[in-house]
Amino acid sequence: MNILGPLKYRKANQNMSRTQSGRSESYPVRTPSILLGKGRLTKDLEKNLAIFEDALGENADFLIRRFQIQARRRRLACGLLYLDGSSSKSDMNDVMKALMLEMDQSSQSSTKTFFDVVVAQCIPYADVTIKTTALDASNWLLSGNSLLFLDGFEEAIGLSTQAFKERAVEQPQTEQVIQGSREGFIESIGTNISLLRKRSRSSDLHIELMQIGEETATNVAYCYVKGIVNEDLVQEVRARLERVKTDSVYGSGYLEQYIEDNYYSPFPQVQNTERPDKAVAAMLEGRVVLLVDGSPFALIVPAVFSQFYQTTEDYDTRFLMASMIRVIRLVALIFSLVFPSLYVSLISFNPEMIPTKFAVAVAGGRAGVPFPAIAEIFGLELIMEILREATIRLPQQIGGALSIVGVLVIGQAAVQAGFVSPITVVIVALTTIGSFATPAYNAAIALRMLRFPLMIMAGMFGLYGVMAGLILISNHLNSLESFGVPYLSPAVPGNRLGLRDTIVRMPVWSMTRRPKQLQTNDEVRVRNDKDTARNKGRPLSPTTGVTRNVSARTSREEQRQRHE
Amino acid sequence: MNKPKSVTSLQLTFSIGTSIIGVGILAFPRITISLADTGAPMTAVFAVLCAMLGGLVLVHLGLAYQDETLFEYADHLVGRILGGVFLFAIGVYFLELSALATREFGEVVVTSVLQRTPIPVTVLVIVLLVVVASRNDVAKFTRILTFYMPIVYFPALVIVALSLKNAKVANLMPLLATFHDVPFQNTVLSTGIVTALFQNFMIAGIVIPFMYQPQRAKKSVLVGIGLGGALYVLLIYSALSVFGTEEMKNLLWPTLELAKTAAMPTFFLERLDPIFLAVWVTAVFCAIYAAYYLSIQAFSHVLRFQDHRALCFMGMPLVFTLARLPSNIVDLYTVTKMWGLIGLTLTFGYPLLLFLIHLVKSRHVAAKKRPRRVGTTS
Amino acid sequence: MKAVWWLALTMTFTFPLLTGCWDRLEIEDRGTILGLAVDPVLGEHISNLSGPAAKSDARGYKLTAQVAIPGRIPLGPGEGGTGSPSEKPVWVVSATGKTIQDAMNGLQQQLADKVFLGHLRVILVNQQLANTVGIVDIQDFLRRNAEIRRLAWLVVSKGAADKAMEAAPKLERVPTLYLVGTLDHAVQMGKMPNLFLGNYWSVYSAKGQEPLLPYVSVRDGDVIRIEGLAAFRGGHMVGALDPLETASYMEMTDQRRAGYGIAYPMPGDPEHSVILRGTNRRSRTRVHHDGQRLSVDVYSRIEVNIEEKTGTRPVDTAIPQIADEASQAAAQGQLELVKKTQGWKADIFGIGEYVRGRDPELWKTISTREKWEEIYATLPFRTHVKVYIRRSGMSAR
Repeated sequence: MNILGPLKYRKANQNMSRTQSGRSESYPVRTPSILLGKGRLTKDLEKNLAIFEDALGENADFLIRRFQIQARRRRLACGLLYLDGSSSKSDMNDVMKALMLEMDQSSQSSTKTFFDVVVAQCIPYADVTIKTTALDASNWLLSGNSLLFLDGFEEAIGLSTQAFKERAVEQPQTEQVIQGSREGFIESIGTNISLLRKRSRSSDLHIELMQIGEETATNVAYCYVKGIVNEDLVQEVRARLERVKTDSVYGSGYLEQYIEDNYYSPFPQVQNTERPDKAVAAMLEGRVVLLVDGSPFALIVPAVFSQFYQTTEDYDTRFLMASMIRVIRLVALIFSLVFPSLYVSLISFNPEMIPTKFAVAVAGGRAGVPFPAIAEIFGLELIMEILREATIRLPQQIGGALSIVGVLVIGQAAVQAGFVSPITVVIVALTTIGSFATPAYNAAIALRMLRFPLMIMAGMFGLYGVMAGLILISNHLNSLESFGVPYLSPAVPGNRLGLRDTIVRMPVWSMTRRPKQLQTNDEVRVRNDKDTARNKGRPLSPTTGVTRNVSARTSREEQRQRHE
Repeated sequence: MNKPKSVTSLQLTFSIGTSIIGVGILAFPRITISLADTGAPMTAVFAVLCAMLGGLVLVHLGLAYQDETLFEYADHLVGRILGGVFLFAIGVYFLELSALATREFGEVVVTSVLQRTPIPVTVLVIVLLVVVASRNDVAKFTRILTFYMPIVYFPALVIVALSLKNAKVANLMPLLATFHDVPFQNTVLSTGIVTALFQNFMIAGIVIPFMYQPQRAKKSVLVGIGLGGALYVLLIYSALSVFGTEEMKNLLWPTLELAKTAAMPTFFLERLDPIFLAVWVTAVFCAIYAAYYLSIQAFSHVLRFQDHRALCFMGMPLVFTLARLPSNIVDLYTVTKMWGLIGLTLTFGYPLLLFLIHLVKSRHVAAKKRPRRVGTTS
Repeated sequence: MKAVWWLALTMTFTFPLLTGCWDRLEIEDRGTILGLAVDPVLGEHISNLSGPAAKSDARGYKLTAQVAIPGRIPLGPGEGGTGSPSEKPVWVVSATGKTIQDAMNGLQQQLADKVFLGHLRVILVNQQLANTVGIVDIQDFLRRNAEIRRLAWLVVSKGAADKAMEAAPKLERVPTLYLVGTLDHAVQMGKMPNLFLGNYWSVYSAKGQEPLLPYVSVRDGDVIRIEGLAAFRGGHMVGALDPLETASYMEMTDQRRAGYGIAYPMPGDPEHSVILRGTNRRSRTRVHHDGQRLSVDVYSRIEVNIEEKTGTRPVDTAIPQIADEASQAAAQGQLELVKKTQGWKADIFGIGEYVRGRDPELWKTISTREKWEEIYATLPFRTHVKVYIRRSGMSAR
């Protein structure tokens, strides 16, 4: 059986639908799940098929193919049950072809039962299981697989012919990089797992499966690297997942809300990523990655704040550039949070701070504007948010046009109409652009939304208000924890080695330890950092081509001499 | 009691370093210089040493009872009733201290930035910030204080660096005025006043049992007080070198004036004092936060609360009312000075008392038992 | 959950308190005063808004303020903007009063917007006022107001100060900014020490030093000229230093940046001269106490470049003589400056502070300002100047 086997159907011990206790039993409705739960598999083929026919026959995509095979000089009636469209017809054709046409009876052993012979020798198919109960079999069937019943046998042969349509592996849309892998997760958990495997061939990579949601029975895999990850963390993740009792899990964002620590916080405490390389890197740092079937986003826990302004590209670029870009990103992040409120407090509360010439000019720009600075900038920021939201919702072809039109027309018209000053437009534009520079959408939106309360504080108390707001935010950040990991680590509590990958990014070989706050089993990541840094040979002479040849020749001669 | 060990020694250092920088830094150069003239920086240095001594006592006790807070082992040492009385005094003291600090803060804000905003409102904002933050547990408490360390220190250092342009060495002279013509009692008084600003180092008493490596606490406390002290000394030196003693006596908040004198010539911002004040809000927040947290913890221990959280909001109206008591700014500074000096007996005397009792007890126990080491828990 | 209720309860009680923006005042709604001129009131009627009790040493003050008019000063490179050149970007308002704040109230009466002093860059004081009643009351007003910058310029003007407010210089649209630029550049070029308002306060408070302030004059309505420095004693102006004396003063007080070009006669050719421009200066002051009397030694070294020479004599052979001559002349100049200030009894060099710092025991016997002034008036000075000629420009001879 391949590793995806268990992913392809519901667990046997789980019922298809709502539990048959409590309220649902008081209703006389005979749901298919109840019917199937009561059904017993017998030796009679027709009876077996009738169980399924009764329960599922009304479904348009439920099909039964009856056929016969010839073996040991007798004909045997068979029934193949499958869901049209969800199962791969060519796979089933192959199986039927083998059974109906190419059954080689000469080599069949006669000691085993016929059923065993069919399973062991006649079905040229990798993924086969035996189902003994109707419930189990129907769960298998409804996961897109097919069931083969043989007349005279109680068991059903489950063929893993699941073939849900899935899109190809594409470039991730939300986390695009210039340099780096172009592969992104897709909606199928099997493919996603294979993408992880592709990047880490370690036997320590553990992928464990769980089904969450009573109706949807969504496959959720939690993956980690044994030997690196802290076992307590895995326990906690498992416990939190087990505690999720709901009818459905639609996607990773849905699951995230069940397992996050503080649901009042505007800040995301679980990172999501579309990139397999990021997920693998997170696992190798000692984190746990959650994959949810049907969602192209993997969840990474625990998440700390610094992860939200880092990108995979940071590690693919040389460290100086990466550090500079990261600092710029951080500046942009802070801009998007405080710029409008700083503007308000400078204009309305502390104009003495601006250079005199500029202040007089600003006053000139604002002279005709009828609103106070706070109303002006609040309104414009609000319009900007609406514009942004509208741009996301619009079809792509129109979206681009609208954003340009929106910015140009609204900005220009507002200035000309004289209800905002030109500097306000500049500030709002800077803020908006700043918020786009944050790679993580969920963190960016948190800061974007927080700037509104900050603006109100600025409107009330000027710089003092801004500062009070910022203190409130940073107090919150400091008290936030994600799976027991302080949110601002490794900055607070400080960790010298961790700081090499927080605001700047030091060379990869110098980040010798895994993040300390994750309390990993194996801390060492790079074992010979000093060697890498220093022992670099000079195979080519540093001066001219002539000497290079000479040195090359001498070394060759030396070699020859040594050989002799 | 089960205490999660999550505080690193660096966190303790930074927490102490941050919590002792408070409202006091604005006015203390004037107060000390009017007492001790150019000897004032010296007295600040003495004060740092005094605070370090107090810190050492606290650390020693903390190490002897590694799993208990200052309040808990006090119960063992002096008994619950006497301990309760002392603790209550400490709680009241730090509550009033935070109230005075909020008031002083309000006065500064109202005088220099928000002139028409009613002072209760500015006070309320900072009190609310503190109250909401004080609901956190000790680990988060230290984390918050640690976080603000660079934000508190960096602007002060920038101001000092920028004001050096206008510094005059002659203003500092004579360096050792303490030994020349300053009356001895003035030196003592000035030292006492500065030491009173350092009282927040008491947080070590509640943080040490939560430490990861408590044996490093001694170094942490010393370095923490040293850091804060260094900033105080640096500020008073630079203020003195820019203004001179006579001018300093005219300035209500010399450090703020120092920020006014500092200007970055080619920069977007022309004046740095509003920025300095804004950032100084964090320093004030940290100091008031530490004091309030201490007081809340003390009260919740006296009243045998499981959790200090319930008290957080109850302390708020108290602080608010206490902050309104001083009638004017001169009055405020008189009360602050007196209260600080009175408190010294409490914040230094009480640990010292505990320490002595501890010594006597451990001798006693050592005499009784053969193994000479006293157990870490009693 | 209980906590949430607590929070909600507190918020409902506290948030109504927080509504309101008491201090919000938009930048365009402020009467931004850029420059202020203080003149004595001569004969005119003095308005008095603060009640009859308002009294000061002066009969009254006349304040002339330059208020920025929003919109008249466009941002951006030379667009012209909305205001045509004939429209002045500032509005000059004046008011009188018994005290400064009284006059300020009068000013506020004339302005619809609230007076805002956060951008006040220059305060000009009429020399007549500085000479007679002094500037003690003026600087008290400035000190108390939190909006005033410590880095503003307090300047003494020769003649009426309000003329400077009316001046319309060609290089800058805002007259005050032109004046500020003039002063700032003079400091940068080493022609004037950096004597801003905060400096005045510090020195004024010190017992062993007397403050100086920049001294300017307005000519022909729109030319603002730096005349040198005004020396004060006890808040009264006692005299003025001309530019050459300012140079000597800067030489003696260790102001590194030098910028004066001073002419010296060419050795052996009295009909012609060389102009030397200082580049760098160092100086040290030493006070000696020989049992009975104090005496002061000032050692200064000046590095100069030759800037101009008249006549045909090549300069390269004459450098040592020029240097000698310049050294002597400079030492002489310094001594004359000292004589002048001793005549005023104004210790502008801060010798007293030096004594206080280095010899606190001796200072104890002096300890008051008046006593020090007496001592200073008869203090023997010795000046030692060494001029080093370093370069002669692009010309070799």
